[in-house]
Amino acid sequence: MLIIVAQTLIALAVLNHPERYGRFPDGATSARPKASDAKSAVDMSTAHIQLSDLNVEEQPLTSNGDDQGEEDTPQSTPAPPLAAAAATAAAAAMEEEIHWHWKDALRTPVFWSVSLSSFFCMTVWSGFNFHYEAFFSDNGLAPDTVHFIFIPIAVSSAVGMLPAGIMFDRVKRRTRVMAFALVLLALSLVLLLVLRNQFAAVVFGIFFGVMGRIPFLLFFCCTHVFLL
Amino acid sequence: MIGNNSLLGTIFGRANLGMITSVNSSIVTLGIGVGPSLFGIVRDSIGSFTPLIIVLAVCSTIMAVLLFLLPLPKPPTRHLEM
Repeated sequence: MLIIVAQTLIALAVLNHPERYGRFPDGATSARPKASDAKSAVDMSTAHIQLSDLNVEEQPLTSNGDDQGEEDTPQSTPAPPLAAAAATAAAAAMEEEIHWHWKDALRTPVFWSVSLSSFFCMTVWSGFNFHYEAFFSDNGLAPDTVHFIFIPIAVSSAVGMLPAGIMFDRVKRRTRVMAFALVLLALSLVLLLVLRNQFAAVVFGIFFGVMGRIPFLLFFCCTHVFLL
Repeated sequence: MIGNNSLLGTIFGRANLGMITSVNSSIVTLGIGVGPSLFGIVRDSIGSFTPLIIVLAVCSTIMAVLLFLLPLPKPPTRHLEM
């Protein structure tokens, strides 16, 4: 019941209209597409037909119905709505990207390195969360005081997002961000071996918390999106 | 490490990102499931987490070096299959 109420309130609060905030869908330069945008959209659709070898004669569509002095007819195409312009821009962006077939991607060392790295990180993360009392009691910390370790983990997770976001925006090869997360993981594990007091446990929590946040940053990894 | 989607999307593009991330997510989810059991088995059998922690720290370091040095793959020659 609480979830339903919360979802309703969130749906009322969230406005999914980026143009109201001065932002436009990918590639759009204004809230209402200009005639040039419409023409480029039409040109793109024509080019797509040519590429797909449909043997259709090239008949460029008109974006307005008043060319050649003719009146509007059912065949004439009005200026595309905002959604159409956004879809066109997205299609153009897709054309510019390099797209891998998934079988090719699975043959690359980078894919398996990223996957294995993720595997190690999540193995340690879940293992620690299940056995943290045993970890610290093995190192001589009292079982009733080990729960405080989640405070530095939470704080470093929250505070560490901002510098991590700045770093991600500046790093071009984001596999190196994953490498940074793995270094933090290795440091956390070394600390876990040697910690004998609460101060070391706090340092461990800071490293471990930042390491745990990086994957979530990677999830939303787009240029400058971290600082929004 | 649930969030590798955009990292993989940056490298491999978005056309087949669903299949690529699904394989990656399967491996990651396997790690989530294996972790607690692995740590528990090691501690019950050896009496300490130390050997497993050392192994995982070494593996993490090796993977970090690999990820740092690995060049990004060259664009594929296979035709795109949407």
